Amino acid sequence: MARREGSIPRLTEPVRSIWHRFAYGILIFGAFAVLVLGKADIVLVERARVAVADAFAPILNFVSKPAAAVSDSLAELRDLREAKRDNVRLRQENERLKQWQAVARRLEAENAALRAITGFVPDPKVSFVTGRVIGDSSGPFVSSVLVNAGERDGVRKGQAAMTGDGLAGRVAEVGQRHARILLLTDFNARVPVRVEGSRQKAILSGENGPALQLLYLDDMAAVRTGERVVTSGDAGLMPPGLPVGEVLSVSETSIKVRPYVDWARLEYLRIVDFKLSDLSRDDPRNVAPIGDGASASVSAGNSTGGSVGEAQ
Amino acid sequence: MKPGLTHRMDTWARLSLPVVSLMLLAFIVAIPVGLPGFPNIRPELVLIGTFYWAVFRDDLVPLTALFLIGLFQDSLTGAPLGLTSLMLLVAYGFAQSQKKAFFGRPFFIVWIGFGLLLAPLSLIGWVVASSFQQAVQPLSLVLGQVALTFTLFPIVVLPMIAAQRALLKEV
Repeated sequence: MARREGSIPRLTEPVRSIWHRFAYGILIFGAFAVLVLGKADIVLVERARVAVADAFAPILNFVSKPAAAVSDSLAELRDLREAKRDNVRLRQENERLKQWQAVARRLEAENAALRAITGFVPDPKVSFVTGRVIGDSSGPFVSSVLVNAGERDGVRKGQAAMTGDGLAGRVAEVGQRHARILLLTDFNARVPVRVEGSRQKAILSGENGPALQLLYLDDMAAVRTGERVVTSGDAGLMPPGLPVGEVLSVSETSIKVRPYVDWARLEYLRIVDFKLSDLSRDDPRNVAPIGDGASASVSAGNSTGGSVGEAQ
Repeated sequence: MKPGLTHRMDTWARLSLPVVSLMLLAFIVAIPVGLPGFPNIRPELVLIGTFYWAVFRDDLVPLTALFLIGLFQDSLTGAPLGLTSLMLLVAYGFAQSQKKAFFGRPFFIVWIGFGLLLAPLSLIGWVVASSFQQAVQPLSLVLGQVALTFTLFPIVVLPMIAAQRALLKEV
């Protein structure tokens, strides 16, 4: 009895050890194969990846709440310390902004009047889906986050994702319950932008570090430090005029841009649905909102009647 | 005498501790913490766990499980799919072959041993990622990641030692 029990493991032992040795090689080879397949944009690999992330999205959603609470309370402590200084700064800023508000109101009225005269074709209406960041997966080779809004909420690939401060990235992958946002800082992120002062178009490129780079500018000399960079809306998926960042430094070889978004405090992202396809004919107010969600419906008081057909 | 069902389930649960702990670490990596100032540095927690279990209980970490955990982490983090699997397998191979050097030694020797593995392994990861993304990835971030992972080694390993002592002593 004892001999029979011992003989089976003794027989399988060499087979096992051979398998064990082979398994190591096969699995290393398998890892390489997956890397190659993933690089080749095979749909099956992409789908498998989305399915895994989708399956675990509810758990991440649950777990990320207490994590966010802890990091929130730490941030709150820091804020408390700086409250006095912030107060003074904010008061000054408020004064300045009140002046800007007056200017903006005047310009808005003027804009509406001019639009009425010229029969300007407005941009399509923009709507939002807001998702909470449930997974932060930024590493040295990739910058992306997961949000808990997916296809069932109307999120589509390519849409812009933004915070109250500005553009954060675009949707790179959509599951039923989650979406992966490729951040502006990612090495592979490319966003068509416009430098606001000189109206030059460029491509904004991430480099996995904190700063971004402006590529393919016509005239680099015309760009100045501190100029605002906004989306140009060229690809058709993002509305034009979303704030992105400001020019940090201009050198002979490169132009660096500092994004408005605070990467350490990405909590909620608004996914912007820019309905370029269904241009509504008689919608009076279709300018892409700039700034916070609260101002998304900047006074609808203008009355550009639908003289769309006479755009020229 | 055949052991009872509950006993077998208990043993099985204990034996799955290493794999479960690695899964848990892969999950923790993906939780947003928001390290201020370092948005692109992420500690390789699973690598720490893999090293530890490969040295002290390599019989309980099947290679296939390592491979799948790597794929799982890459799916969550969006890193090049397969990269983590590769790194974990290489780390396992190294740690397992050198485990005699760490057995019964003081903790800091194990820690330094991990550091000796981590630095070249991260360089390999950097080379693989750079070649697959067809662009040189920033090396400074990799160095930051190495430093952070090395620093976090005791924080990850000490609970594992405790768990191993409590649950895996007899099995």
